[in-house]
Amino acid sequence: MDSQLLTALEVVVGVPAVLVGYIWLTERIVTLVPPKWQKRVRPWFWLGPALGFLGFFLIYPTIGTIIRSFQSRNVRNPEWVGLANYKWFFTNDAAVQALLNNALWLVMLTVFTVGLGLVIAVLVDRVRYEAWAKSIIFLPLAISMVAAGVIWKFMYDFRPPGQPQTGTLNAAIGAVGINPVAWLQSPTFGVSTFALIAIMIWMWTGFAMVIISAAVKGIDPELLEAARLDGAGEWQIFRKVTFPLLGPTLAVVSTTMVITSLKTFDIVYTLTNGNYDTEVIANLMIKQMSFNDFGRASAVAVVLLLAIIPVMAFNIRQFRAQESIR
Amino acid sequence: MAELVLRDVTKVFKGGVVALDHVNLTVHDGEFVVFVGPSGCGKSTLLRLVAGLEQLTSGTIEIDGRVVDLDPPRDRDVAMVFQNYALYPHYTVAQNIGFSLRMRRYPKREIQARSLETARLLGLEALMERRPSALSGGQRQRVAMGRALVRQPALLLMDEPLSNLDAKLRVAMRGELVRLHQRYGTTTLYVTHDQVEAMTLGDRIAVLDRGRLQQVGTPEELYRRPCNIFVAGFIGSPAMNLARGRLVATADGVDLVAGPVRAPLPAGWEHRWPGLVDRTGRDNGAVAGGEVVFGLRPPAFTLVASTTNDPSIIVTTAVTVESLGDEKNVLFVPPFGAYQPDRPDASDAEPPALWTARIDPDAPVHSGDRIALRMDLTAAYFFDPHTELAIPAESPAPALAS
Repeated sequence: MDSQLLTALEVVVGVPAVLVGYIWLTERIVTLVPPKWQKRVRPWFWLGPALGFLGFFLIYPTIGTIIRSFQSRNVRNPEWVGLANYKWFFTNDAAVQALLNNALWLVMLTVFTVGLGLVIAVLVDRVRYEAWAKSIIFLPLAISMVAAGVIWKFMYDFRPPGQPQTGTLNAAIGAVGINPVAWLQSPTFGVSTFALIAIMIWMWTGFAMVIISAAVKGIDPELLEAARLDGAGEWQIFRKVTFPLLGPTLAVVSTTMVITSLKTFDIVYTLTNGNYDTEVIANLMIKQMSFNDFGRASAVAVVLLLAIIPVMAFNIRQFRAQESIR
Repeated sequence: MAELVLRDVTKVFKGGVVALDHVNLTVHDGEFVVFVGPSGCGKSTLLRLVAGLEQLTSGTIEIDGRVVDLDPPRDRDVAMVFQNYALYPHYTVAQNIGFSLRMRRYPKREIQARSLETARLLGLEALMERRPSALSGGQRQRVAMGRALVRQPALLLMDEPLSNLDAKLRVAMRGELVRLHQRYGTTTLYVTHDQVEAMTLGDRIAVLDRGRLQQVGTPEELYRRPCNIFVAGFIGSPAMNLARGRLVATADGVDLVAGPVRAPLPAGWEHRWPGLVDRTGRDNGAVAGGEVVFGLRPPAFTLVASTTNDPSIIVTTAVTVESLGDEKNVLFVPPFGAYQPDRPDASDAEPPALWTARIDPDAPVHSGDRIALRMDLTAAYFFDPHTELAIPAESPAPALAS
């Protein structure tokens, strides 16, 4: 029999069989325990597999990465090097550049996606072709990052002045007589980094808009009517009623965007690979891996992890706070 | 304080649904007018038009002599209490009440003073720092009232404000509303589907059905002199019993014939209901062939021993007996069948197929019992079966006490 078919069969039959077997077995064990302990024991048996998988595929590698970050690049026979990898990270020009760029990403991406998402969500709520507008704005998120990179490579394409401009953007500004700009090869003023951030804004605004729009729809229209009767103008209604009520949603979307910006990799990797002062932390990590320096790569990963933890913590807290209001 | 004038107010929604059809009404300064009608009759739409939350299709709305058709809500000096209160969940009670003053840029001290005064009047001063989610339904209702009253609007609009409260609280708040109205004297438009609420609150009641104003009058007028079948069936609780019948002239008077029942109209009927004279068939060609719709309110029945040989007695079976302590209502199938309108688009407020009689609370009647009821035709109402308009009585039906 075809080996792929066999594998499929094994999965279809085997996995449920193992699950059923596991449940049967644990229930047998639970019956052996004194009755008053059964209630306490059972949840652990049910949680067990999930905890096991998480531990094996998440906690274990994380701990491994942390340990690895204190070791030298020698894979076979790693030596302890203490904080050398971290010291390298925080003194290396490229790494510092990456940190600065990530900070820029964090601010720009979050502000623009959430800001634009909010504006669009509120405005689109009042038009008839809402569904269409939202679909179009949401569309870029469905494109893979690499494909988006390719699309924008064409958008940003640059030919020296005098030659026909094949890049959409340069052709456009050429039409009004402006010299072409090497969008992705301009370190000055971080033009290239901004060009990359613009792509991500294009992709993620739709996401922010959809989530915020759902929250806008969740606001009781009577509240807005009440405010209107209470003498509030449209801007005041937005500031005093709509915006505060969207607060929790904006917090969740913002933290999601902060995490996304800290993890930025694909767009940078496909378009500039960190050249022209566009380096970001995640790309730096991959570079160190490609140099076979897993110690440094791990140190970069740990820095990234440490940066994301407070944001995650805030997110979880926000989530809990919302749960308690309900 | 203001007078509200509605002139030919018409609202047609997209898709051609006529929500309001040429409504004309003047609400006097300080008056409490209740709009009542079944759901979908257009009463809420009317309120929203006055508030400026909807645009008129045609007609005009005047507040204190000023046409406000095109004014945005905030320029109309109206306040509204919503059915679901519409309190701002992120503001405290104090902030909710003071919101309209803040929007109008009142000085801080005045906002505080007026909010507190309003809150005190509503018994909310202990709750000023709470958020709406920490309030009970009745408290939220009061905050909504406070928010509307704090800036003393020219016009107060209330859209079924009590419908989310439990029965006991509703009665208490009704009293509260009367008290507040006496205190502020604000011209008030109040919308409800509950005719008991309408009867107890309104200086005048406006009955709406399918977008048309049916009748406007004091609770008394609407009860005693309903202008058509709809108002007759809508006002009064339990509702008026209606049936189709025919007037047949006899040697010494007129009989009301309905199914197997043939009862003479009381003596002096031609003075009491002059409009019935040319419907009796005594002269050639009675109007509508003598057909009428007649109505009897539940107190117009007396429980009697079935042996009595009286033509105005109907013998029937008690379907349900509702004992309310000091009154007892018997629901029964009249031998002639309850009135059903012949229009196909009859609204939700269809008259029930059962009739209701209010009887002596001590009478030992149970569901399923055979009972005999005497109809008091002196208390009858008559309507034209085609126009559905009342055939007015010269003197209104006496208020019967059971």
